[in-house]
Amino acid sequence: MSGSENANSLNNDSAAFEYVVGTLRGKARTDFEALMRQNESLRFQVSEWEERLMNLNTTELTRTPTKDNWSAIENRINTTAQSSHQSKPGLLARLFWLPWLLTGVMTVLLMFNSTLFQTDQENGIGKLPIDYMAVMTTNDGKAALSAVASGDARRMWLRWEDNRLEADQDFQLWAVSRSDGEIRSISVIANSDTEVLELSEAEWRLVKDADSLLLTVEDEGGSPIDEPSDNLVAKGLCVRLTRTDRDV
Amino acid sequence: MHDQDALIDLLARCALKDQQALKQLYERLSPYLNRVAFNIVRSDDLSNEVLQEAFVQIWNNAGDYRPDKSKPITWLTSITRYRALDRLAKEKRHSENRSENIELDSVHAENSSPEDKAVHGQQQGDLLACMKTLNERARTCITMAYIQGYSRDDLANKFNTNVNTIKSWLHRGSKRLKECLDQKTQIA
Repeated sequence: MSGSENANSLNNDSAAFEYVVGTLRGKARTDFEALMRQNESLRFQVSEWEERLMNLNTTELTRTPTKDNWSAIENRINTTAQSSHQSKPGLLARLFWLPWLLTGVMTVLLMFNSTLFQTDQENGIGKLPIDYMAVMTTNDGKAALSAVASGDARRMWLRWEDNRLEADQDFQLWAVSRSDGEIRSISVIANSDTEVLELSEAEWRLVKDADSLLLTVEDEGGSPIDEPSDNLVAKGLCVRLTRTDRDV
Repeated sequence: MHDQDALIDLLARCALKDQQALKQLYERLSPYLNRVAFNIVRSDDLSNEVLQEAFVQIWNNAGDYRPDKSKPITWLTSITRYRALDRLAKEKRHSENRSENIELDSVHAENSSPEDKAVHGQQQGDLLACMKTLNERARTCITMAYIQGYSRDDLANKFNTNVNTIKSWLHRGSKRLKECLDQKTQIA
């Protein structure tokens, strides 16, 4: 490392520290946040200080919020959701005139409408323990697909961000095995409307053994050679959420 | 102590827009997070508003949370602290309130109770031990800024010095703290 790189690294660490401590204010703070969005190492330094300084907090010391504070939060969340619903006709009108925006608009609608919440209720996810979670991100760190899986339900729920497919393409979800490093297919997914995957026993075992999950774009019907293509959309670690072994 | 797995589970459900999960998260953590916000903004009205902003952000960004990158309680606390600092900047009333006699968390980290130390475990023990290696001014600056949201100007007033001196104390304090914590991590 050169002298100037060393100095930059030291300055960055000092700035990351002051950002977390809270003494970086005003324009310096805004500039630092912009820089952090483009600089993974800076984000790491911030996360490291956040984790370390978190131990200055005393979680036992509390101050009860006002009784109506939760209602205020609910209102704010539901108002945002409602205004997203109200914007639907406008978006649909654009969809009618601009068919090439079809995929993007559908994704936006998916993100904001309440289908996911309905799905939660219809599929009973709210009552089920979630065993595994993976947030798959693109190369530039944007979330592309979040997946949670429940062993009790033998299901995986999916939440898609902006993902596009050509007409003759499918997505394919892969598990990278923790045990032997092999990559095996969990499912071929026709499009990003798919919100729930029913998992067979074998597929559930792949999820349980997965170190990470990959999402690729394949020819329609899935990879003909049962290996992921080079068209990798996103990847993410598969994290186990519960301590109890749910090996049923 | 908040069970880490349970919090991750609730955040995962929030990412899927399960409002009940957010409510459970709120019921578990709002008294603690409200305290964190109150220490910085020093007003019950403002801390309640900060809490609202923090939970709306948690709801919107739960899908961005990465369990492999930070503990859930750290992620949630950071969101609340940053929203409180934003609110502080907006209100521009921090300095005026400095002399108010409000009960705040101690700025002396070494005063944490043994129970609390046990809860946070080894990592907190390491941090507190490393904080003790700093000189008293640097240690106080760091804790007052982190816990109570003191700006460099506030600290300069408090210590009757100039802002550059405060920057230097913070810079040297962070460097020393990092060296000490890195050393402890290597030993562990």
